[in-house]
Amino acid sequence: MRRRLAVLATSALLLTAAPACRGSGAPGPPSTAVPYLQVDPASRSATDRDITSAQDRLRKDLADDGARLELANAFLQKAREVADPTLYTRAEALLRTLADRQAGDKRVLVARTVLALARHEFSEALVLADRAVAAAPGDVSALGVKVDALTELGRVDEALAATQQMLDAKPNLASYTRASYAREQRGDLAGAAAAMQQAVIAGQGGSPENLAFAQVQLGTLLLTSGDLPGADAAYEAALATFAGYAPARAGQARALVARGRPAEAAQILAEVVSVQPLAEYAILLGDSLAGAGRQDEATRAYERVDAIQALYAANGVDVDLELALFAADRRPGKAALAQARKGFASHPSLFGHDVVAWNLFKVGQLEQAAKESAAGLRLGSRDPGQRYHAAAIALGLGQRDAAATHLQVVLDTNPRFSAALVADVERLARDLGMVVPPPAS
Amino acid sequence: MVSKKTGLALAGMLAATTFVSVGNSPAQASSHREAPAISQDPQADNTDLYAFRDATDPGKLNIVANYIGLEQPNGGPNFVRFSDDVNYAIHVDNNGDAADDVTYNFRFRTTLANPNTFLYNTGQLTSPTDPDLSVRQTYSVEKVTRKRREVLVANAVVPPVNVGVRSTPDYEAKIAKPAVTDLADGGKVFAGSRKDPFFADLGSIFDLGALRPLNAFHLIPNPPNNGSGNTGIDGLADKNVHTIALQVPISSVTDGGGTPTVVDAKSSVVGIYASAERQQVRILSVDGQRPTKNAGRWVQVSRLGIPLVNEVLIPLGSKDRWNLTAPKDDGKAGFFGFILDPELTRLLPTLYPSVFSTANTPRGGAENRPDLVALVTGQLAGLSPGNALPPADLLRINLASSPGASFPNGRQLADDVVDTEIQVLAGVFTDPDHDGFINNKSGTGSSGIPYSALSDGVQASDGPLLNVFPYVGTPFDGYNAYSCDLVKTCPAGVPGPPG
Repeated sequence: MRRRLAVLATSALLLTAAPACRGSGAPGPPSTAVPYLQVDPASRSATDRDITSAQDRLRKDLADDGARLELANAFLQKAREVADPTLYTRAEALLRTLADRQAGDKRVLVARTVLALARHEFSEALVLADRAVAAAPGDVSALGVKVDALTELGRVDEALAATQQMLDAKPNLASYTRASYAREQRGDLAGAAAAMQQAVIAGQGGSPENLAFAQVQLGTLLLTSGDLPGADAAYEAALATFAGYAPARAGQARALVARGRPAEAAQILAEVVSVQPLAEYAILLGDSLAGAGRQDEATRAYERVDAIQALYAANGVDVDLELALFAADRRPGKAALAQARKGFASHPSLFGHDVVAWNLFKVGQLEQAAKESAAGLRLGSRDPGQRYHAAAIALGLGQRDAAATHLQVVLDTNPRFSAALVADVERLARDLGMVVPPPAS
Repeated sequence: MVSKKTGLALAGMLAATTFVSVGNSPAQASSHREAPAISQDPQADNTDLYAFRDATDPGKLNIVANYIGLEQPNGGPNFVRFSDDVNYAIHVDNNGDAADDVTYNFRFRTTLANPNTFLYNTGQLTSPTDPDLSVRQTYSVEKVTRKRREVLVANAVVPPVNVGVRSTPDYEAKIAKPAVTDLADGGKVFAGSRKDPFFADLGSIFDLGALRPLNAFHLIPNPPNNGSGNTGIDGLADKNVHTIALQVPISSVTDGGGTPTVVDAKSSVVGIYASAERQQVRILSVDGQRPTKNAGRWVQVSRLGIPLVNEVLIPLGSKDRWNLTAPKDDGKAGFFGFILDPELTRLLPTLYPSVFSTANTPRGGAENRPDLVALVTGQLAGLSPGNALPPADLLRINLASSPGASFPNGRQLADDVVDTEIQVLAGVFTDPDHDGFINNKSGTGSSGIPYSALSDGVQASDGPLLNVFPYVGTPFDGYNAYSCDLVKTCPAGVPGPPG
């Protein structure tokens, strides 16, 4: 496992040197060259088998578009599993050829939407998703990517309608997980957990990574609901489904932070970051180290974030919004706010409003911050991070009651949602005459 | 080279429900959440349906519905099982309107008898309810007619899977057979793991519609000496499946409760399909505001009537819609257009250019395909055109025919439906000179190739059938059924991929 990932990391760096030519600018001549991937022949992973089989067929016949599509989908799936963004570039090369030859094929359109979503090109994703839905009315995978695009564009009512349409057409892991997210955004954590539990049951025997994904989401919902043993069990189940699944390990780290044990969380996260260099995990690691009082190490972990994001950017993934949230806490200022606004322009989601709100707060524009925060919470989300931001903004405006209401949600869900902010949450609680409950054991 | 258009169309067309596709969609590039877009649901995947009169007790009808395809016998420790959240159903239309008249619902319940072990069993198993079994499953069978709803059995036992020689010695006699359960209406039922009786050369058919026996005639003529020669390779070899087998008195499913004796009578033919349903969820409550936890109505997510209709005739973009639709609505939903103008037929001249041409291949549409019209209207189950039933994708069986009747009059477990259907789609029944030979390319004389040569080269399953109910054969055990699909070199004596 380690060895293979080391190889992947190397190839990732090599590809960084030659960034992909993308949509902007003049399109290059269409190439049918296949970006073959070296797969460990001893691997027993279903995704690796799919890659090998599709590559074997393409080596036999470059015109085999079925194999080309399967290979693109296998690359996109593998990107989920190993967090190697160069796999997006590989998938893109295959999908560009197919987009020429099979423009109206629903599966090609869905795969292209998936790629656009992964790269945070949400407007482009919605155009492609609409074409997929038109090509295959009632098709659940087409509806699924449309839901995702609408959600990230902040068009929540349309996203809800499309999600319900999915559930009416085919209750399965894909539709249950989206139902769960729709409820979570509306603050219904119990309903969200119930739907995610249905997703977990419906995912039995299917793709291990997809099942593990649902199990991790369930764990995180339970963690936010204050059910730590339930969260532990869900993360463990995910690891039993998909050995070493990084999101499950990160979930276990989050549960340790919630228990007030950031040093142990950092231990897990250091390992996670070494096998899956994702910015999200590097930030979590930095936060945990900071929470454990190890500032120097935290700084080094945070420094990795920029390098990782550069790699993603080189492979076409637009991450302005995520970086802007990170920047709001680490290096707040006009530059961070500008980055947030730029990110929001292409990613105007509920989360996007929150990121802009927090950056506005950090530069002292409280009225504007309050408006953006309210927009981010307009469906009633109980996300502790967003609620903490809302509480701080409200208190800054002298609205103590509103601040207390928001902070109460933080205390009721997970006041230790970020190891780096534990002291800040406690300070805010003290200012409001409230008490952060001691961590559960 | 194969035309690009053809390539993808064909690959898509042949993507059967048993053949799992990769799930996809990158998740954790960063903060925003993407659930998988394409989701496999093998537990609710209906792979095959069979219906045949019982040879030893001709007053009984056997219906076998199989689910969860391509199971590896060595699938421990989390062996595949029926889902507690799925309603498995067998539907019977007995008055020709294609709507349900008798429905059997199967609901499963799993209990973890021993939560302190990761093992499926903690000792040798000698009965379906052995105390050493950690994971237990029971099920109920409910019969629903227009007039009443009746529980035929409440706590029938699903036998454990065939773990291996140490865990489950003498599997059939000690573990499977005792799990056959009598039903309140005089029938019996079995639900559990079996050897998949279906057989087909998936590897070759998937590879651009190739039939190994006709390798030399394919658009891309592969050297036949690729290890298999021209012999087909069964993609279901070594694979188990989950079976629901039902045996009921014929009189309990007919309209009016009689036992048919006249073959050419509408009332002698019943139409059957099997399905799997999952529960819909209402995201929000009725007032649209307050979120709710309530689960909603059952939604059909998979169905099977005539074999291979889903796999070969329904285009990929329409499969979700097709699976959701009840057979009685097939016409309204526009599915007969696909069935009566099969894409595979249209591709034959491209795939086998030296054999087929537009001149010797049947054109699509009801007027050109009386054979396919006959298939969906029960005429191939012994009804004359005057007694034809409304078209529907139902497995029709004539209950006045002999118990040995085979597909398309019902379907026996050993029927070679792949060969039958390839030959039908290619036009064996519309052959203008009725000589059994494919005409030459200009459509005038014989090409010298008989329709009967159209075959995937796999004629039987690798596992024997039983001669008693549930008839579907003993599942391969996890210890001996070593599958070398995944490795390049197979140990001596183990069947593996060529080359």
